[in-house]
Amino acid sequence: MKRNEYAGWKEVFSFSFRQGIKQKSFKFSVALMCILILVIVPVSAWLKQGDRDQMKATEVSSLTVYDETGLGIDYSHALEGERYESLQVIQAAAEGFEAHVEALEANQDNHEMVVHITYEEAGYFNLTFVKAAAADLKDKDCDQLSQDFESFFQDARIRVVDVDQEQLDFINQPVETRVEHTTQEGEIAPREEGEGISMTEYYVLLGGIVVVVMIINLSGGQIALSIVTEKSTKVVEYLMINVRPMALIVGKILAALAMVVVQFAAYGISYLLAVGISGRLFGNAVEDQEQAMGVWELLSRFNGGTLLIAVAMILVGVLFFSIVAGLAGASVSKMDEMAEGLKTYQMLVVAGSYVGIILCIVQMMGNVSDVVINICCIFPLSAPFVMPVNLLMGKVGVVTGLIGLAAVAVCTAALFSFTARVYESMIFYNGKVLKLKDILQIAKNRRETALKNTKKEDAVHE
Amino acid sequence: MSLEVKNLTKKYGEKTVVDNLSFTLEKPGVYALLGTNGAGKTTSIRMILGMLACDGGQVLWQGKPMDAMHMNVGYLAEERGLYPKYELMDQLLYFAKLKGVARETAKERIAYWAGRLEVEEYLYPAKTKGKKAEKPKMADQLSKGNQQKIQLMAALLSEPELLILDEPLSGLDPVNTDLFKGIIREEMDKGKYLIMSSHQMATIEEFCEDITILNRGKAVLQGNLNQIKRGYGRVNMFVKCDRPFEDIIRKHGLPILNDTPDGKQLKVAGEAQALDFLQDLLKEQRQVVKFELREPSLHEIFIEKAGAAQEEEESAAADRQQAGNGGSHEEK
Repeated sequence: MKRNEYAGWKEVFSFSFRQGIKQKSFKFSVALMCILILVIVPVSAWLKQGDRDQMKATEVSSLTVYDETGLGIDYSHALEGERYESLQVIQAAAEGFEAHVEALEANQDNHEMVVHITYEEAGYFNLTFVKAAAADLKDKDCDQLSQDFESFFQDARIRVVDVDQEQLDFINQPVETRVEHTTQEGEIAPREEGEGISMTEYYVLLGGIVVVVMIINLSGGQIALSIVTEKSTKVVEYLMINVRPMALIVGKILAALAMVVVQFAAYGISYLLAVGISGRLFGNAVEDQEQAMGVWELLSRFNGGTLLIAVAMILVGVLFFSIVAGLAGASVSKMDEMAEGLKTYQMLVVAGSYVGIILCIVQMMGNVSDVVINICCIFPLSAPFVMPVNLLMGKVGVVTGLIGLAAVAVCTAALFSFTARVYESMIFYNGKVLKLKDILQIAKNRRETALKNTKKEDAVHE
Repeated sequence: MSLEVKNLTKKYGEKTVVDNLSFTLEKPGVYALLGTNGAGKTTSIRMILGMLACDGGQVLWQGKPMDAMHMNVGYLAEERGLYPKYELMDQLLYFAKLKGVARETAKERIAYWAGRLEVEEYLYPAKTKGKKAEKPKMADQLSKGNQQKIQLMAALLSEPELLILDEPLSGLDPVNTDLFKGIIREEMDKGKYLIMSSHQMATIEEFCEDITILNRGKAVLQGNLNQIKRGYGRVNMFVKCDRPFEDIIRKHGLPILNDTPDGKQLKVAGEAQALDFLQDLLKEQRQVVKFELREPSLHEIFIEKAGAAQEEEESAAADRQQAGNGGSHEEK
């Protein structure tokens, strides 16, 4: 690659970037997203806080327990703590349940609840909570109470066989089940089929793919639009005497990348700002929500190395698709033909992102082989969408990540070299939208011309 | 010798669009590239500027291979182009920056040329006291002529040593045509080298000493315009009389090239035949109002050369077709 081919890219970059961020559409979309973030996060925190406030003290004044199990559980301390300070738990004789339910509607105290505990023939315990139809009790309050009561019951039914707290904690430890097989060396190895992912993992994977699709689409669209504008308005005629075509496309790609960075930085700052505001106004509602979803647990899996590979993959992927967008843009001569010219580019983006989304779904269902995940993380069209987030979440190894990165980088370099051969002819081309076979023909002609010139030069030297 | 174009060739597939074009600009002035539409003028210019790779030949500037990116060259493209939705000032500063002109210098030159080309109002929005300043103008808010002025400014901002103007006057009204002509003349006076392509023959005659006429990529006529005209001789005669003189035309057997209310244009073999004709007109008392004997105009030379080349090609194509038909008959 000759150095001169790229002289002037800085000027192209700085102009394209400044004009890009000056565009009304860019300013409007960024501002709109930032405003949405600044509004949605505090509002959601406020609603969450409302829920928490609501959960502070129960409005149920009394809970009458009718236990038919015969386990002999003492329910007097079933519901304790700040939330249930004003609640009175009454243990009544089992046979009085139906009469109590009938009387419930007639009772003036509509803050009363009744629970009926039975052991069913099918082999399970049944806890039925009843409140009056006109009871002035919120569903969430009742649900929370039932959950807390159930939690007490789970422990209490074990305690009746004289189990102390330490033993109880031990018994309550989670159970994990794995099916493994032996290797030829006689060692135990996990079977190849991946386990299903949690909903939080699913959302993070999906979110990651959506973010990469957004980045690629934003930069690709920007580049294609800019090239078609320059071609259709003939500005390219003037530019070409000052910069070479490759400098022009490199400057544009970097400007588009910088615009994406600015956009996401603005969203990130808005989010942090929104979290700060929410924290001041409504306590730690946002953090609580993230904690509850297990987001921080997932983020804690990230490490410097994988983060670096993932970011590199996103950048190389954006570069790859931006070059495709640049070629697609150069294949068009008129603005109104842009949609037709960008078909191939859009098909590639859609194909890559669909592979990611489908993989995400089958990962959640738990019936996808690790081999398939690895292939998707290496295949150049899907790797930029799939690999970064899978690598960060530990679904694929660093080696797979590096192979995927290398594969996309090699394809990008090859595409770049191909673009260098055809871009000059394409940029001056004026006519119908160029198809892939036309572009390949241009490359072939250029190659033949270059060979002829080399032969001529050799003849002159001889 | 400053600019030398040697055997420039460009092919698109099997089609040769510029075929062995050579010419030189030995001293400052305007060189004209003429040709019908699709003759290869713009492609030649693009190759000279290094925008298009050539399939043969070379361009030398001061004896060395020319590299437009590393010399000061201004270019006004045939197909005018500005970013439609960007501010004009931003665009001019960008174009100047690409040419390596410092921002402050560029601003000074933009101010000068804005005044000279009468486009200040579009580049410097008016500020009225107490009112919100007007928004800077975008290219798509300007007329075609004014966009052309902005583009000429872009070409001149770097004070180029070589200025290439591809159809600079097309689409301009008479007032702006004179404005552009004045600027071209100024550049000539500054000792600049200019290459101009145009369909307006009168303009070429006004500015250019040397010309090349291209037809389908080939140079069909080249050289000093005065010498070319002298080579044709004074064979164009324009005559207007108050009394009919067709009988005298018939007597001398002169072909009529053009018959207008302003007189008749006749073709003569030379000055002697023209004088004989004039003597007969006077002798027969046909009341001569106008008698002019001159060399052919560039327009006439152009039509003759471009037309002849076209006829030759059509005839060659017909021959080829006939030969092809013959071949197929033989095969049968």
